[in-house]
Amino acid sequence: MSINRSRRFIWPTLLIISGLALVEGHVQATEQSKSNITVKASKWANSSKEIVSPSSSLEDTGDDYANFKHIPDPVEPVNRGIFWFNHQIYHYVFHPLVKVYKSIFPHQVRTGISNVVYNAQYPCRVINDMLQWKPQTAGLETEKFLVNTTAGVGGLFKVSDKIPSLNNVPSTDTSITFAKWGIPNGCYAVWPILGPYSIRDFVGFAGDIAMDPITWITMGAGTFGTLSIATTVPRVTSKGSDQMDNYDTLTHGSIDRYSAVRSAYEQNHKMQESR
Amino acid sequence: MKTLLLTSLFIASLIGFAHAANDAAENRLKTSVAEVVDIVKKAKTREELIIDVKPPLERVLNFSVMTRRSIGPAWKQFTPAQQQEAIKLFTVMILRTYTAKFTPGEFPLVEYKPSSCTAPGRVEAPTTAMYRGSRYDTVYRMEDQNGNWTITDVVIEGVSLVADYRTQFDVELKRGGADALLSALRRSVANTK
Repeated sequence: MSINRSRRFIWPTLLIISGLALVEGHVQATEQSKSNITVKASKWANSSKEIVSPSSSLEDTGDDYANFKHIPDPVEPVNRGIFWFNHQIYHYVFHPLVKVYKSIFPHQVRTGISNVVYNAQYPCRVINDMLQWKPQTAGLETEKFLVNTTAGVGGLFKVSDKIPSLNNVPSTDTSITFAKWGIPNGCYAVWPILGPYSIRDFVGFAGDIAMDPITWITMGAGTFGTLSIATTVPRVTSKGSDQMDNYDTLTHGSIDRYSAVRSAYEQNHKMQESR
Repeated sequence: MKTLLLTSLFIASLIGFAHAANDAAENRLKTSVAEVVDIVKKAKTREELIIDVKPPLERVLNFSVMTRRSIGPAWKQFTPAQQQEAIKLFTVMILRTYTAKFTPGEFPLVEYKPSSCTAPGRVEAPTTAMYRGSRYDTVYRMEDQNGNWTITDVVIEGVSLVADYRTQFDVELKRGGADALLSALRRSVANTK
């Protein structure tokens, strides 16, 4: 009886954890792309000259942002349906979980976990740097990894942030590599639980998962092994809590959540392509 | 030789103007950020913070231009009354959304990078903010309005606030023009109370 009862609790828990793992995959990719964008923000600012028609007067017609090219969205009604479903999951499942996670772990601990996860994903970044033929960036990435692993106690502390040459190393991922190789986007799609990805980025995301050492550990430990849960849960919840904040900010003050998220994704995407 | 000298002087004066513009915009941005950070530091409650932080934000953010550019060419089809209502609703919506994110005592460490003059009267000021252990690159697009530099767009991690709203507003404008957009803004303002 007690076994049946505990099973009843185990399955929903595992379902939630696996769901979070999927979300985290997206989060990871988004976080990586966020870092990529971060570094190039000033470049974007300069490239905005192409988008913004020069005007010395504030009395313009508001055409400054008219030339932005959207990723084709041929199945928008379907995407909107999946987006609605994801929003319910975020709101009723992930949001409460993140709240619990934040109440258990103080901010410093959450940052430490997040740093360790980021440091462990070094192979994914360095392989993509090499695939894009950026040996100098790969070298800096390696230097950063060594500094954070040694002086930063296994990546717990991001000591590299205090070193000027290492505090702004552009992060990369497989999607960016594909973009560099000239592979087209395909269309925009919202995936259940995972969120928005162009077809190309979705394949890139699979590449990132394959190159992630945490995936290797998880697979080596078996799907539901203790080690698997011990490695998956922290990376999911640490990144998930940050990403949930970003999602909330983006959608809270929006008049159309779907368009708000799509536009943010497209703008990030454009940044990656312009790198 | 004389032509070369005049050309050099002209270019030098243009560079001088650009530097002066950059300095003025940067100073305005730094003063405004410092003012907001000071309020965040001193505030005892979230409610107090939200009330106190609004006036400096309203002074430096050019909501009129932000609204107009978010709406785009359809702005001309709005009546003056509709334009005023759109600006008012957009202002309330943005202030409510973003001030709700402020927490007393928690403020970002902002690092300013060299700004660039993108067009006469336009400056882009890139910054990096460290907040809760994360690094955010933010570009402030600023414009000169009769000697007063104001922020007309904020680009956080590559995402432009105005471009994001432009995409959302386009959906409503296609659906039902100015009336549909104003209804959506009214709903959003009511929901963000």
